[in-house]
Amino acid sequence: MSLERTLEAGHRPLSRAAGDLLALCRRHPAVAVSLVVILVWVVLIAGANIFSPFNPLQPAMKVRLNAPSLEHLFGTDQLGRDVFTRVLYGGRSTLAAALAVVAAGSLIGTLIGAIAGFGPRWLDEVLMRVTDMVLAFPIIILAMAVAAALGAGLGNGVIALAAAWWPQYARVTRGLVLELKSLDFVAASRTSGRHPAGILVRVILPNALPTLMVMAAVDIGRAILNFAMLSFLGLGARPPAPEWGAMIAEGAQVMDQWWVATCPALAVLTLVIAFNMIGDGIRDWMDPLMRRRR
Amino acid sequence: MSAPLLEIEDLRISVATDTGSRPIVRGLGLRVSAGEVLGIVGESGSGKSMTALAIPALLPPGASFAGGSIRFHGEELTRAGPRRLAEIRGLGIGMIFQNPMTSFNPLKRVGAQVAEPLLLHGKADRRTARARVEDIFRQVSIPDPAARARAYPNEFSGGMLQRAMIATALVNSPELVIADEPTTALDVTVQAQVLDLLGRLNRETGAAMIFISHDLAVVSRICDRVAVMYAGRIVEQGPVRAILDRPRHPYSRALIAAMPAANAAANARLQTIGGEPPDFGALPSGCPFHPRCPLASERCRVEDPPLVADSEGRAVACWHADAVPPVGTGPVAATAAPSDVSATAAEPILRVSDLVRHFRLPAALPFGRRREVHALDGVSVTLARGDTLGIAGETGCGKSTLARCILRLVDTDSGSIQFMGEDITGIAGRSLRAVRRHIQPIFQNPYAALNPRARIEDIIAEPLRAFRLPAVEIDRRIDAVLDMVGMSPRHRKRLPHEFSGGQRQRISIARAIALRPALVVADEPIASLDVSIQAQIINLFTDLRREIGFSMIFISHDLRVIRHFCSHVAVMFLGQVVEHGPAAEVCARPRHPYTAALLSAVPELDKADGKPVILAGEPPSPLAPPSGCRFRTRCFRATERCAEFVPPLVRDAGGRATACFYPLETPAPLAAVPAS
Amino acid sequence: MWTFTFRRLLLLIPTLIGITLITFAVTRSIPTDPVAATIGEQAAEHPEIVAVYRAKWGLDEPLPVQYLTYLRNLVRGDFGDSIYTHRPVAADLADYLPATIELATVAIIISILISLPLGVLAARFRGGPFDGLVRTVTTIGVSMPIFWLALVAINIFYFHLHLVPGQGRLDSGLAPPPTVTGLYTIDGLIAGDFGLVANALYHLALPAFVLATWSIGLITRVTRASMLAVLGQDFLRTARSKGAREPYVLVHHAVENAILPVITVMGLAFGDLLAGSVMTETIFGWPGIGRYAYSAASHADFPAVMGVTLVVAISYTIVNLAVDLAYALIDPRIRAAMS
Repeated sequence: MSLERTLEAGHRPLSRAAGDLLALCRRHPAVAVSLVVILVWVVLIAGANIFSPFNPLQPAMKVRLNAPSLEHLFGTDQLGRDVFTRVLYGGRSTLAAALAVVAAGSLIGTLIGAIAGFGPRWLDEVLMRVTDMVLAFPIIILAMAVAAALGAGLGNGVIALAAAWWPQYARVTRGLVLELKSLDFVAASRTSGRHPAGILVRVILPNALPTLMVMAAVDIGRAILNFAMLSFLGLGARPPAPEWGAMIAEGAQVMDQWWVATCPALAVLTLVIAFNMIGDGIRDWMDPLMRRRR
Repeated sequence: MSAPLLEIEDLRISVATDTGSRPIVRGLGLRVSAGEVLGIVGESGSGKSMTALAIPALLPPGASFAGGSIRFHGEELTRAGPRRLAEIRGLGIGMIFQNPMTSFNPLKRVGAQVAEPLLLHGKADRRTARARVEDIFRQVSIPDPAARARAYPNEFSGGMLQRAMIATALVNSPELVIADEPTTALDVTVQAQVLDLLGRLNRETGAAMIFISHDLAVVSRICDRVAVMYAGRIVEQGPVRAILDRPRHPYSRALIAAMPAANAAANARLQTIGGEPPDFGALPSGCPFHPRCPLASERCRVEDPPLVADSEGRAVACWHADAVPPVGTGPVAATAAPSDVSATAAEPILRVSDLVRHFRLPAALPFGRRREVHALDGVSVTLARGDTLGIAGETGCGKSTLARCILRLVDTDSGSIQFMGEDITGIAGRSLRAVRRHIQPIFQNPYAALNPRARIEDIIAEPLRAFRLPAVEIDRRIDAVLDMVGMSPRHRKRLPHEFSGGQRQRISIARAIALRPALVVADEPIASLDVSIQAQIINLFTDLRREIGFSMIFISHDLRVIRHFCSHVAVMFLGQVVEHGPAAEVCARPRHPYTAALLSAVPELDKADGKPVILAGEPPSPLAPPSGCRFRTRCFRATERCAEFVPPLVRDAGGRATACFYPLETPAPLAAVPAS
Repeated sequence: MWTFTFRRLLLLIPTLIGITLITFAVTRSIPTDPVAATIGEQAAEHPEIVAVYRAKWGLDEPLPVQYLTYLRNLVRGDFGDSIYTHRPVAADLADYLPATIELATVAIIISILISLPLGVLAARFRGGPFDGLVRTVTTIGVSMPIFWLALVAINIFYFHLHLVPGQGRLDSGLAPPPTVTGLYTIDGLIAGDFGLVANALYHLALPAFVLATWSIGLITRVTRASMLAVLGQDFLRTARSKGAREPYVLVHHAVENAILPVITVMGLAFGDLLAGSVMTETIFGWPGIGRYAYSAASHADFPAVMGVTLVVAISYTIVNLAVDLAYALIDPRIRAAMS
């Protein structure tokens, strides 16, 4: 029973969480490597202006399409801009957008799911029907339509993706709330005379939160991939602003100069793999059966 | 005596845990002769199931064979390769598992699964297998064998599926059948059917059987010999009757004494073993039972006693076997529980009238049939102040729904609940909160009943804070109730996962009594606890009631416990009360045929010889209850009248009520209306 | 089973209404004037054209009426006119949809053929080197930006190795087969032109493989996880206790139970394929609705984007219907619950 496992894992004090993370890393070295990869990217991206002397937007026609060298680690693009610099600055857009999508999507979804699971039956019906409607669209397709309606741009891309992102959280949260609601300790809270809102906020949600937080953390990888896709289609960040998907689209024009498209693509790939690896590790770890077998 | 069929020597099994490998079976030896039925009894963690699974080398992942020998017909199984083991499994040794619902592949027809041992061992081809399956279905009393063989597992009831499981084990006529808690997942009346069936098959086929159970009474009904396990070893072994009459190990004695016996004085304290079964990760030194043993001496703390056989075919592992007193003597608490005051017709604290609750299952698809579960169909019970009302019945009879209705966790369709003279059926908001102060619950599963993220003190304080008690008073009460339930105030800051099931149930009880409620509604409060812990909790209830004096509704499937603990009992069948009255009288002289069947189905230590009343057929579905009397399809007295009219719950002068046209122990039908 | 199918078909109606409600909401949520967005900037300068559209959509009516008008237009097959191609969107979609269906179908077949055995074997030999390899490769697969993979693949296999044909569904000299289904492979078989079928498959191979990257990763991972869950089930122990040996237990009891969640994921994977086709088709020059959607999006061709969105959502819904039916066909418990 994974919920019980999560409940048990969730109540551990924070001091134990650090130890748990260490145990997880020891059991799955891939998780440790992934954490390092993410950390390195975050440091590089955050300190882009420190790690690179170049301007990500300023064209330098004299050094167009130079292959990677010590001066230009990832080479230069059609306009002579340093690809390494653009990857670092581009990461700011992509990562910020992905974080915003997951944050907005999970907050909206959790709110709707919690209300549906805890509120009156008719409200549950209405909210879940709306959720199902949105789920009838593949994420990227719906995001594409919304982005096309709103017009291209970083912010609109985030809104478009978040509009398609929340239903999964609504579904999961509702399921968790319903499952928790059926547990005896919630019934005991009701018979203790506590106010229903207090039960939802102080008893049910804290027990649902660990699962949702793990889900959101692992989701960042998927959001990066999807946002890069949206930008590649010209519906996210717009050139010349550096953004990984948009940079791959630019690099598509000059595939013989492989570094222009490949460097941002590898940035996407490594980060997404890292998030997926961590997700696998946590899932494996939360499964009591797997834990026993080891 | 001929060579034994199965011979186990010095068996050792280890289980991998987070902190390394731990022994769970520690040097176990036993023999089974042809045709014999051996029972193995023990509490959770005693290693009984591991022993059973180790014989055909089916240990679960994580558990591993760590030494010893298992010989079947003289052949060493621990050294047999996978090919040889596959030849023996299903042909020489048949297995019956605990939960029939998960032991069948849900996607294959039952007949095909029962036929598998035949086909795997080349005993039949597809066509002859079908005939053989129908034969064996008849043998295990599955009606309409041809149709049932084509059905899927989800179309079977639990009891029927367990019959099919038995059929699977027996289809190749094995010499040895291993049954691992085969009736634990079943209702009492179905358990009686299955035990009866296993006994008959043992006589008919001559197959030897190893029967694993946590319930000594169940084992005593079917076995010739019994082995009692504790902490991975056999502590006592011998003929069933001899051990029941004169146990020589303090643990077996305690197990027997902890069971509420039919002839014991109602409401007397049960004899209990202190403490809890040891965690196999941290066994005590010497004899692992010594921390809980009243006879423990210095030697027990250092030296683990060997299993010593005597001349009568018995064996015991205890340094003080000769000092074990006979059952029925020893330190029984002299103080009887408070005598209930209901005889003086006190004003009822709770009066439930004609309660109806149907659950509508949502239609899976448009225009689908919306089916209704008839959880409660006109239930009336009363509870006098200071009384304990036991509510007995099997799965699906509505007893838990009734509890939840009284607790106002579930809404009712119609009928009324009056609590201390006030109708609480439809109240909400502030007035409902005011009532909640006086009615508190205790739930079955102690692992689900405590918020895993809350400290013990916050769990107990939750109702106190909801009713705005002063902080000092809350603080004082937390310590007080922890002390009352036998926990230490030192436990206040801990989290639930640090406690065992029995301790968690004590914490639940502490929360329930913190507000000093007038009524405690306990829904199967001991069903998921080990036998020795059950008795502790029952005694705790008795003590608390004497101290605080709350009334109590005690829901249980186990009439033994209700008879022991409750002043009154209501027996429910399929959403209705069929019999209601003083517990001692109802249990001694049941009037409703269902009560009689339920009582006779409950395994008891001291009536192992009596032939139980075995109910025919299957419990009807609460989705489509039978017309007229709901029990009639299983009743040995039913007539056409029972199919046509619903028998009313008729109350007599002695405070007993029965809903039956042909009650037992009554010379003539209550009303002489001939069946039309 | 027939009543089940019928009832499940009825459930399509609210789903379709939901889909159109959402596309309608998106259409009306445009920050600019929907008419301007729909007919393009030049046309929007002419008030008479704008007036015609306002009347056609009933924009002066209350929203529910507008929705009904929108629905009526859709039912008539009127998806509006493409700003970029100047043709009715419905006609464009009819031309391009079969190519996408053919590509997506081949991709899902490839995924299933590769994923199921990989997932089952990885679970069976859990923790071994094969399992490790499968896990690594599939993690990379689901993490892959396939638009970049498509670029790399076309660069290597077409521009450098000349192993695969160029753009399009057939070599430029070949005429398409007579249209029956619109799928060249099927139509070619019907026409008995095996050379043409071979050429169509030759053109399909690389885009289909690239497109299948995700779904191979996804389906393999789910198969493995589902298989691991089933391997711990009681009924496998029962099977062993009957004298069954491991290969028999695996094939006769484990796999069919493990397949159930995989079927659900296949439906999800199909949605991914439709989304992925936007990029794959664009890069491979595959004349399907994915490429159409890309060009529509990059030319702010709003009616075309909405047309594609609607068609994709409807296809996705139909695939999920098929998934439900397959589920019921395999699992007697679902059949019992639904009847």
